Amino acid sequence: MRVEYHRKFAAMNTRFEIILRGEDEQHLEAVAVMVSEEIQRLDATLSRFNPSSEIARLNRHANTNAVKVDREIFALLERCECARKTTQGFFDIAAASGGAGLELDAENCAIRFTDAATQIDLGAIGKGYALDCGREILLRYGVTNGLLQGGTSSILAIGADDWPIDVRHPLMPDKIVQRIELKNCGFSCSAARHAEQLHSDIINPHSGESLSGDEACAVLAESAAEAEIFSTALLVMGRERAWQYLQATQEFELNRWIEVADKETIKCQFIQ
Amino acid sequence: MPITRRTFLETAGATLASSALLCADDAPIRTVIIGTGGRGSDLIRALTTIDEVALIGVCDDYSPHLEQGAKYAGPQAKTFSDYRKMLDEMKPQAVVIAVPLYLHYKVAVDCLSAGCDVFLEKTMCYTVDEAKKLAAQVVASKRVFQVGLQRRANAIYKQAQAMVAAGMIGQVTSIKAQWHRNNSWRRPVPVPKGDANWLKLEKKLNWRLYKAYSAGLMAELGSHQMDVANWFLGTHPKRVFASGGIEYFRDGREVYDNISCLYEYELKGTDGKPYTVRANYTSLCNNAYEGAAELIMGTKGSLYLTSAKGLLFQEKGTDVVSWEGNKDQQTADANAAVVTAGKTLKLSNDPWAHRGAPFEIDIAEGNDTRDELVSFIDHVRRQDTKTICDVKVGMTDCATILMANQSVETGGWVTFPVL
Repeated sequence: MRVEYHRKFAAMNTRFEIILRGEDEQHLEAVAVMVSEEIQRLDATLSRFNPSSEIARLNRHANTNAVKVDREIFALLERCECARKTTQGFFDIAAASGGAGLELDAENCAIRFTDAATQIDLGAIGKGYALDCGREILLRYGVTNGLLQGGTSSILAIGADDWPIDVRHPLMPDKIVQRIELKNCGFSCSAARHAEQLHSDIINPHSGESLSGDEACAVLAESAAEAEIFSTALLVMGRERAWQYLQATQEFELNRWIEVADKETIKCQFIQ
Repeated sequence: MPITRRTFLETAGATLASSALLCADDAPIRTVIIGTGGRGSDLIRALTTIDEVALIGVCDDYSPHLEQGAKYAGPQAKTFSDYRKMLDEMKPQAVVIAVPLYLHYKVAVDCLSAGCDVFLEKTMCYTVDEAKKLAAQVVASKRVFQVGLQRRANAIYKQAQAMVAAGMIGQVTSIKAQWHRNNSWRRPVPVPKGDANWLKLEKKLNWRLYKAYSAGLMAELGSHQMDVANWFLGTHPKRVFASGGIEYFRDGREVYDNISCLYEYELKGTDGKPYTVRANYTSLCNNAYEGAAELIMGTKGSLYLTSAKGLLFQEKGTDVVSWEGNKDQQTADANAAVVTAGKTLKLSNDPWAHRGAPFEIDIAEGNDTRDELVSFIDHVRRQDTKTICDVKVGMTDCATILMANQSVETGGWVTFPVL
């Protein structure tokens, strides 16, 4: 008999949710617990606010010394650096401290910040990366259908099932912009600000200023981390530049640009 | 002697002074790890961040775990499925052991016999007899030996222990500790039930649930927390009464899914008279409300401790922490500088108003799993056998937790064994 198992837990300063489909509820629970523990482990090591985390250790020491990190963190930071280059610097984990590259020493698995002021923050990729790590666990233990989400802004659909997702208006949480079906892909939605925020907490690394306007950008990609990287980068680029960028790169199946004209009306447009 | 800020600082300073200092000019310590499952992977990730470690070998007899360990360890680490072969071939100086409990003694003895310094995960041994024999062999071998009770390396616990020793919560009268969760404590098995290999893999991966390999919740969780009680009280318990059973997860497991213990410690008060401290310990698998924490209760205050947070609650109406008395320094921040050395006490915004506003032990940095390994490697480098969690601490902890299981089985009070 097909069963669906749900589990919710707190991590990365938000709520995560795991929905697994399979035959054996006891097995699904064990897998869901392993996924939740993996995501909590990643939270503990990636949060810049946790003084015990590896990112906090980097932020303390990597301005002055090369800091040896584990291979997982090295690979993740290498990927962030690669994404910074791919997105013309619009995705930058050091955006809040002015934006700068990382010096990556692959032989020694060591990281050094090139700028004395650099502080890194994985807030724009951490949830997506954590969901992707969750997918690895599902596949390792034979769970082929499931949905993982963090904070409702990062979602990963696994397997052949369609998962209906309602994309809501960033400033009016009750208002649905559009329903989309996710199948075996990652999804991320970045909004310049939420209803309860006066100003955006997303910073344009090129100008050093927080975003103005009330736009939002939703991206589907192969992985949740990719979706998160590009929903941030495209939103920061702004509509015109994002449009040109996507025409040149042809990277995505589907993207949506959500533009808030005023409190009541919204425009939603496919940009590819 | 009245406790002043100054005497507290001296006590705390002594603890801080023992933190590891490494010399950068020596070659890295040739290190291997045996057991690359969940905990083993945590240890590998931490080991690979330490400049003074050269992780040259990883070993596990379950290939998916070995692959995972190899991925975290990197290509310079050779992989093995037989640890004796790894010891022969790699001739490591230090070995980190994270295998199921029933194998601890055998693997640790083999590593000591190979002349290695040993870091052995908690709980030290599966039986008290093994613990006694291992303790004798560690002493005879003169090797560096440390048990993985990482709260001993945690900045919050080190400061809290110094605070208790300095009398900041008065005379300790009671301890309440628990590790509560709401899940089956079961790991997934990669093949479905009914597969010919299911039972074999179930026993391999869910070894914690079967008595032939595991001592259950007390060994896997309680060992950390009863070690805190032993450490803070400066002695081992005299006796315990415990009750446990399988009440909820009737899934074929053999170890209890819940246990409640009442430990008695005999101490001498400041007046020289003997008194008893009672420590309540529980572990549950179907209610996570209280999580994992220890509450150290004294006549002047209580310390609420977790690996990431330490809170000091003062008893109302007592003249407790001396910096409260200074009218010039009404704010905690003003006083914080006095506590010094990277750790400050600050007023917490914790919502537990009925307990009074607590002071918070603030950690500036540090991860206890990494820090315990940094300390171990530092002791290896200096060939200093006085590790932060030596074989005697490990043996006492082992006896402390196993006596609770024995009490459940015999249905009566169990006295601490002669070690």
